[in-house]
Amino acid sequence: MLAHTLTIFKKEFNGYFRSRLGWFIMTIYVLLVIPAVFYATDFLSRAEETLPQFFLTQNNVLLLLIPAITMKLWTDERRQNTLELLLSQPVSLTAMVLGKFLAAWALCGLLLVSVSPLWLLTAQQTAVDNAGVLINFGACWLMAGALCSICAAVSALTSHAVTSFIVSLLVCFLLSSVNFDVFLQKAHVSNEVIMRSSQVFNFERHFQNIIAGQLTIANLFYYLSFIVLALWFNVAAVAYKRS
Amino acid sequence: MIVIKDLCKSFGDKKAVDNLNICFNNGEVIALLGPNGAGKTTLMRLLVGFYRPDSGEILINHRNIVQDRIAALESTAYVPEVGALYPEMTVFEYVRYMAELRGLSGQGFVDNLLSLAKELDIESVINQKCETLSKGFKRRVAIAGALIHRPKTVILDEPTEGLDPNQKQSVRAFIKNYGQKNTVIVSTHIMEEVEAMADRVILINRGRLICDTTPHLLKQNTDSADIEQAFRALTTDN
Repeated sequence: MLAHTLTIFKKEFNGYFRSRLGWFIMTIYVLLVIPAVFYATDFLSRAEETLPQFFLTQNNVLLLLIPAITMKLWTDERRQNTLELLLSQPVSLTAMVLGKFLAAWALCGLLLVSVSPLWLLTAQQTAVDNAGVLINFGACWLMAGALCSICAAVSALTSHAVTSFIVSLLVCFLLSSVNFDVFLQKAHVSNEVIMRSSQVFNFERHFQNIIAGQLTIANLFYYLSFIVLALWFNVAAVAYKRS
Repeated sequence: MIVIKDLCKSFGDKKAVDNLNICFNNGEVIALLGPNGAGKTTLMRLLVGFYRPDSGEILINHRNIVQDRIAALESTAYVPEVGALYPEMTVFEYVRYMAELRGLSGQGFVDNLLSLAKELDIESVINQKCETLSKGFKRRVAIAGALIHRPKTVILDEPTEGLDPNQKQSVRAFIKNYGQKNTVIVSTHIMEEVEAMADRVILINRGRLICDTTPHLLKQNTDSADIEQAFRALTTDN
């Protein structure tokens, strides 16, 4: 299964750059991130605020770009009539789903690496907690993985790239913005178990926790279990669409 | 060898495949005939595990396609009706991708690619992007990708669709030759093709087996001058 996953990963990852979608997304990412960070923090006079500001903007920027990264993962197989061909290969659905997901996730990693000079520039201007910055990059990548996994499943369930993009955008927006605490407060729910559960399932809260320096097993477990669940859903979506 | 036992597949109320029992042996080219909507494509998709049967079973080289899908498909190749290629890939990249999915790499891949490229006459386009190919080349590249690992069972849906007469002739010769040692199932609407390459004819209509015979006996049993006449005699309603 590993060899098949790797083959599909390579094909999908190279495909981003063969079709220029990868270059386009990287350009948009840099164009969105760099000016936003520099204008928001006035880099030359307040460089110490640059990196925290950068990490705080990541959830919104990735939320916009990940649907574009994943929209073609499965819809293109349908458009090109290659889905029938792919599904008739002696390859498990898990390997297919995993290969495609890892390619999208790797592209997210590349996006983050592409703005790493910002880290070096900031380090020249002011003192930087390098371990903290590394953890924050990891948090962004982990959150990107969770968003990629759910958006890939959306791509498997939709027939057109544009539909996939719009639905994924909506899903990402709901995931990151729905704050159950607000609903519970409005509904006057004060049960501690329900309140705790609401906090446990809050997507955004886990990201903010890591960014704030609270890297815990619970935060890691949340994102990893989210990814596994979404990938399982993706496998089920492909199997359902096939039948 | 493929054994189909009591195979059924429905889509809603429509029975696409209705209680089929067929055995495909090694060393024969089988023409799968039937009018549009007869269930040919559904049968082929069932054979490659794309669809799951409602009931019955398919054994490919003694492996059950549902319970042991990956092992059953290891020595099987399928070329769908619509030329399924990745447009942004070059022919070489496409064939290599198909080979890697089959676990074929290194010298084995190079040897098979060289021989297939020659046999299917695609050497001149090996570094060309798939999206720039003519319909005829696309069809032959799809066949090359499917056969790169030299499978024992090949299922081809309309393999000569879109080819010019010379290309049709060479692809038919290639299929005939490949079928001498392997099982080749070809779905086609071109009746001259049946006589040119098939050892056996399987005719299905409305998902049911109408006849399973040789091209010669098909003509003889229906008192027909050619396969097309026999086809009409067996598939016309009145």
